[in-house]
Amino acid sequence: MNPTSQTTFQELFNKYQSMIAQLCLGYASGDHDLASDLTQEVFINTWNAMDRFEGRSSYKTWIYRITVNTCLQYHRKNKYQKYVPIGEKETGIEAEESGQKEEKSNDLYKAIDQLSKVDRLIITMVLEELEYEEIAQIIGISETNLRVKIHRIKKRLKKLMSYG
Amino acid sequence: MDDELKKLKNQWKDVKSSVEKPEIEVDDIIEKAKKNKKSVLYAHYGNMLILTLTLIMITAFFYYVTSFQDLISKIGVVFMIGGLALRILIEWVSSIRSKQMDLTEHATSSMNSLLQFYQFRKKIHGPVTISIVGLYTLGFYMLTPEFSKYIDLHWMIIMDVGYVIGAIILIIFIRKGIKKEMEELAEIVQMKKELAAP
Repeated sequence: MNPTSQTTFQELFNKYQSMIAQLCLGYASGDHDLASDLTQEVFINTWNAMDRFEGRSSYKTWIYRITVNTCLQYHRKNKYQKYVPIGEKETGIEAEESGQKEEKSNDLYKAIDQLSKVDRLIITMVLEELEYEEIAQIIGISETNLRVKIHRIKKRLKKLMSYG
Repeated sequence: MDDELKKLKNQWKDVKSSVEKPEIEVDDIIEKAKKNKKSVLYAHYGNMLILTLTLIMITAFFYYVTSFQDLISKIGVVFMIGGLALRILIEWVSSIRSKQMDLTEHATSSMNSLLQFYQFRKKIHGPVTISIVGLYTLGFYMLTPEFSKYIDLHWMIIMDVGYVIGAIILIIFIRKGIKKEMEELAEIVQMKKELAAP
């Protein structure tokens, strides 16, 4: 890897680390350890793909594509990893935040956890306020199809959170 | 923006503000990426290297040590070496195809490539693997008539039974691997359906 790519990678890392970590945390339904592993894996894959960036999309879209693909393919490699149900695990949030906030976050993560893998990623990108056009490009579907999916996911989340 | 989404976004912001930034250093990532690249290379080429060395050793053994005279034995040797050579070729094609998968493409396209790769693996695990094992086994037993001229019966029995036991152990391992890959294939098919569904 040439020095320019290395500098670019460092810039990407500094700029997008929080966003990627947030998306991974949404996908991992609040499991901080899994989200941290995923974030690391995303940046390893980004580093490996640095020479292949052709500038056909923005760096943001490009790195989000790597994130979505890494998340979707991660369980394939780590299938037998033990998952701790959201309600049972102790996180930094639980230790530090007020009871009300903690309950809210758990409710949201619990509801996201009930969604399919693809839906989890889509809704997290929506909550992260990515443009629909950008999400459609990352997933590789039409914007119309995406809107239908988002509508369905919202309905499902609402139902899950009111009965959860 | 509708109220439902607004509510969810506010809730998400609350969660976000309480999340600690993961402690990941850029230098560690680069270090790990380099190590990973090396281990993937070793895994890909190491397997092929072992198989190629086995092929060379078997060929040398048949050529310099045993020097079979009967036609049936010579055909057997060709079957055994051919089976192994076919296995190396498949390993090589498989490694090329796995490198073609691109995580920088959109999820639908990346999932398609992954699905094609697993479907290729499914084909390999089916008729191709059975043919290779069959060819190798047939080749092995075609050597036994000529072997029996020079080796005592009890050694012949040990050799033949040993082959069967070895084959059973190998089949158990292969089956385990195939089962895991087929479960993964089913999961990929499911995710592809989810991506395509409205």
